[in-house]
Amino acid sequence: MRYLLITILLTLGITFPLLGAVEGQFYSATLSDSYYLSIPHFQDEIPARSSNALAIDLGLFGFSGSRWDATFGVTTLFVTDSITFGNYRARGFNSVGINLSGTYFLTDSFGILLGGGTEFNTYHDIEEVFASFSIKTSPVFRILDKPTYKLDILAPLTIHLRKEITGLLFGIGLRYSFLPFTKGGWQ
Amino acid sequence: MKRLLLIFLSSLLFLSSCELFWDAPAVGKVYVVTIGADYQNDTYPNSSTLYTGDDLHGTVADAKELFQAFKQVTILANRTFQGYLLTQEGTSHTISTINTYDVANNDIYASVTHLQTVLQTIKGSASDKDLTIVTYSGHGYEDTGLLKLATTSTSGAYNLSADTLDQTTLLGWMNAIPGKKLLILDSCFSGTFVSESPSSSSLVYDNSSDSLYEKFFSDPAYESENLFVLSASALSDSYELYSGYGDVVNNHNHGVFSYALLAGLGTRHAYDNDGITTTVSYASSIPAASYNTISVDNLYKYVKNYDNGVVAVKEYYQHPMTTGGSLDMTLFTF
Repeated sequence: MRYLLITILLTLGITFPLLGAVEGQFYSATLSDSYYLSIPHFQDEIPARSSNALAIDLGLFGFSGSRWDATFGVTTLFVTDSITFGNYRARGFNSVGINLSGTYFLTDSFGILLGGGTEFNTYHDIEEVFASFSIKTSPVFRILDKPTYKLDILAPLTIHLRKEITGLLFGIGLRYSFLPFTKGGWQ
Repeated sequence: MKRLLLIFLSSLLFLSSCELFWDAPAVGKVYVVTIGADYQNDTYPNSSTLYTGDDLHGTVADAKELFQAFKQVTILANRTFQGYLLTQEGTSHTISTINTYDVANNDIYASVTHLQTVLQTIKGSASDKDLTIVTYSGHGYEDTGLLKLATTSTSGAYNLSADTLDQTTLLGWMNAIPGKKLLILDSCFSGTFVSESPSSSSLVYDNSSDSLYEKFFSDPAYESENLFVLSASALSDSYELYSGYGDVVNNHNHGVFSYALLAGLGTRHAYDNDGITTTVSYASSIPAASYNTISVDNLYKYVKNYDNGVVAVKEYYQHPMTTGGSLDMTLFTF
């Protein structure tokens, strides 16, 4: 609980200074599918194991400025068992966590996303849980820019930090942002 | 920058192709040791009168059928089988019964010393490629989970020091065997044999989010396990099928956990109208298998969720447990 509280306070500490420059608020939903590469910190029969990961991120508190946006929200991740190789396979798991992400737009249609968070993970088949942290970056390609909603294509690269494994995720995603409360539009 | 990106992408491509280009370790022989004791030959202290208070009715059938079930699965997986069946069955209580010891495919008296001999024999012949499966159906002592094997006293009380096995001793014997190992326990408090993972926490026991994060930052590091444990219960009793159901009268009962495990391995029990087993047969496909593979998690999941309309594991107040951590051990691939 202590670590979770520190993370939330840190997140709010970063978010609040940005609020002065806020021009709009929004909600967002991101769906992405990624290749999940488990790189073990222990001796395994293979350097890395392959799984698939489906992520759904919900931006519950989204704030936007002229060239940036920041979101604090909930993240979920569904990772399959790895391909069976040798005597083992990496166990599949589901995650739920909180994350903070921000996007800076270099042009009207291209930006860079950076984010991070922490997760609570449960294995699919056995009743064991573990904690993790994640860091994410992605190019953001804006394909629809309407006054009340935006649509972006992402190609996220995520580092999923677990105690015994570093997970590398790279895939493709779609982000939908809904802007019910804007001060004169997005930009 | 471009060079860096190229190196990064090449590394990713190399790592993500591991399963395609890496040589999988070869698989070898399968050693199976199944143990079942019905405790019908033990006596009251200082007496030759048989003590019936601890008798079990499904353990010997568990051991015999699990032996056959694993044999069938091994054949289906095109691997070589070597089995040892350790039983204590009935009231016979003579020196010759106790000393019966034969090689594979014959019953061996289910004493601690015989089990040790069997495991040492396997240790002497197994290689890193082999898989050793040990199953135990019998009593587990309250709280400690100590396994109660067949008595070697020909009269008088049970010899607690000579006829029980603790976690350290059994896991030590098994760890000494080369290759991969699986210990399956259908006994009370068998969860005491499942050690806590250094990287994850069991939801069956009390855990706060604090302990998860503390585990993340703390020692020891996770290591891939060569020995997995699958237990019938956590820190509680485990049960045989209700006495009103099935073949108690016919002495063909089973432990609830073993019954579900047998079903998962393809053993079918056919019943007549009175619920008496008429035939035991083996399926050519394995219900617990997933994508042509049986792993420890496949068995665990199958047993935990087992419900054939008559027997449902969740109706019994026991909770199966297995070794935690990020890796699941595959047992057979078809």
